[in-house]
Amino acid sequence: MKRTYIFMLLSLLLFTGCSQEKADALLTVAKSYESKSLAAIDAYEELFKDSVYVEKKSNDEIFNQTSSVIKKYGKDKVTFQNLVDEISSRNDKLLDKKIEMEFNKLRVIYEKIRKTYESLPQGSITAVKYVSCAQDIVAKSMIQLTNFSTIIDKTPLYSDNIKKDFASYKNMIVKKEDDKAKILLEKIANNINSYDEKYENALKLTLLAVKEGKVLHELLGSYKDITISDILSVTQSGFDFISTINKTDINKIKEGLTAFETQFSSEEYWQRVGNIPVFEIESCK
Amino acid sequence: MSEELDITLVKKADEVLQKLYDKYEEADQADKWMMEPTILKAREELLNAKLTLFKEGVLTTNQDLERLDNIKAEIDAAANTQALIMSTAKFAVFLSTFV
Repeated sequence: MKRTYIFMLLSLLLFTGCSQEKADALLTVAKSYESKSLAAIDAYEELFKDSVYVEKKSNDEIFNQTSSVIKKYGKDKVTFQNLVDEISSRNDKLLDKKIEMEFNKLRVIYEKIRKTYESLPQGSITAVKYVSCAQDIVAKSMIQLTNFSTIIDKTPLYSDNIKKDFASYKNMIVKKEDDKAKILLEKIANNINSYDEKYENALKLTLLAVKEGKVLHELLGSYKDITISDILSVTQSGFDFISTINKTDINKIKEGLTAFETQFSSEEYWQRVGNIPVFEIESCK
Repeated sequence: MSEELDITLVKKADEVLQKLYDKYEEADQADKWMMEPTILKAREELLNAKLTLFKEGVLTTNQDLERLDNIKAEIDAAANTQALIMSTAKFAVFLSTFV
């Protein structure tokens, strides 16, 4: 992967003219930022989807509840639609679809960044104009990615299934069903550990994306003066970081994200960009 | 400041939902059936509020947090299933205003 990338950049250096070579290299970095950002967003989407998963009732449970409710409150309290909702899986994915819809809206900004530069190698005047302007879009998206990590860190998305199991667990203890409670605790612990792993992965992917965003942002800021070797140099440092991140302790990852967050909330430029709605930045006034 | 309030709101709402699951587990089979639709509605509205917070923040006020505290107190004190269902519905409507 790394060799292919460097080879691609060197090929551009050899076979193209200076401005086109820079434009192509910039497009490569923009594409890399897009793919890293989208990987982070995919990870958050999965956390949201997992959070609303609830196991369906068995037919025995449905029988126990419906027979009890009919005897206690009358037949009208169990409608045919109630029964269909319990048994049919047609509506199970409604919340998943809602989540997908919201995340698809989020993805637009990251795809837009890459599309902005696609016409740059062909020398489009519009694209050149957008080089400096879209720097703000990159900044805005970096702030957004950092905010995602903060929100998820402060309001974890442990699933409804875990919460329901926890309520059952407490009830089992009260009823002195210790053996059943121990088995359920095992399941709860596995589900919490599984969430924690996915959450840590989402943070790692976020830090990777924000660091790549920083590279792109700096390239855009000095696009006129930058050389192809400058671009190679900054992308090389990016690869060095990728190769170490999987072994990096989660606290270090959090420190990295917090450092970005502090910069974004304390420096005037980032504060200003953070307060501009995306559609205003996009219009490039 | 408002982001801190947003986060507090989601944390408190999560606690209320956990309380509802606790009450559900304590109920008999018939009352579980009766409680479920409003709990599912509250769960859906909490998801919507969390998605809104995740995307752009929901701008919670101190008055909102007070209202949520009052709803939680109602749920804690609900004397019967009907009262609990009413308080749960109120919780769902409250959350729906943050989307």
